[in-house]
Amino acid sequence: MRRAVWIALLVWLAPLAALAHAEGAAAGSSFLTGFLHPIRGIDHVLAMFAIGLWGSQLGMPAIWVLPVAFPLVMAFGGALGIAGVPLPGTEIGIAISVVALGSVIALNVRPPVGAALGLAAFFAIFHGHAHGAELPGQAGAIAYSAGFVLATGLIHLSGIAVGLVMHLPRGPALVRIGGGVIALAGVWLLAGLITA
Amino acid sequence: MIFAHGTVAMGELYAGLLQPVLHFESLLPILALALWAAQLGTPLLWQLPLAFAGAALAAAVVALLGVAAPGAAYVQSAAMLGFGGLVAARARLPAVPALGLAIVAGLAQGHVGAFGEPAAAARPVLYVLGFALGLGLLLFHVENLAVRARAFWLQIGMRVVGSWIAAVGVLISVLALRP
Repeated sequence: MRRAVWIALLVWLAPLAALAHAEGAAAGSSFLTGFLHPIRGIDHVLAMFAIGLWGSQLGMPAIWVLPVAFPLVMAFGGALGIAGVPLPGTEIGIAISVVALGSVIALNVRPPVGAALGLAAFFAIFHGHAHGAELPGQAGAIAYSAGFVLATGLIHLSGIAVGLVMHLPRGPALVRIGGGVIALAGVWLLAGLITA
Repeated sequence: MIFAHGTVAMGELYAGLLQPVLHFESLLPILALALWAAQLGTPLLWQLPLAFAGAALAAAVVALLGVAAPGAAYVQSAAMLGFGGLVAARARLPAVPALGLAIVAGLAQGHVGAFGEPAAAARPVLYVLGFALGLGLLLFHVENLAVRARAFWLQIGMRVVGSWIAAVGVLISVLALRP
């Protein structure tokens, strides 16, 4: 019975796959553009992955508070970008976010959940601003937004999922090493931006 | 999907049926409302979707009589932000404001779903019938799945989806305000 309900829902939602067909090419390709936007930039992927990984390292309740709050704060950053509010050093801010988030994981920094949220929210503004500034005009905007929010959330989830190795004997050490690798990658990104 | 090509008389019914799932601006508020109703439990569990769908049908009929409501798209963006945020926060509201919000969102939903739709103009009765069926099916399906999702992680998953919908709502609302 339950399986039947699932199948019925999936079959009925299947036309979503044909969005491109029904709406003209615009909606389908906007969704894809939005979905690919966060994935194309390694700086963004690393930071989002680190948010999920840090959540796993901190455990309850950060493991779910961070992914619930981050998209909302990022959207407000995006709103600033859309409104054309200038945010100096967006790219540098994003690179610094990779260094900072990787470092707190590597150093096993365990602040109260409010402080962790504050740090994540601060960086979320930069990430959102970069996306918002590149949001296309009215046409396809909602499909683009839905695509990029979904992609961002899925990167969080992958960070949380990888962080589940915390439950293995050597897991906590592995997570800290992962954070160190992310921080080093961030330093490399930062160096590239400064010398460029 | 063959019906969607409009070569069959069923086309208008099918166009109405698919309207809620084919447009993100229609799908996302419905999804958020259904998740919120599932979080709230009975009696709002069934009162909210009924109020929403009832308002949507009334607004669809009014829209087909030719009454324009230019602000309806903004209300839909606000509904994504509002209901998505309520789901993310797992917030409870008293019955009267909750039903009020559902009715306002439903009115916008119905108007956007019917106004200026060529299929709705061609065979309004069939289209509205399909639209009602589509709304009902989507609300029922999502709530049915959400109510069964008792596991802690699935409850968190719903809140995450709510925050994603609210995030889309923020972006769309701001974009609509841009000159």
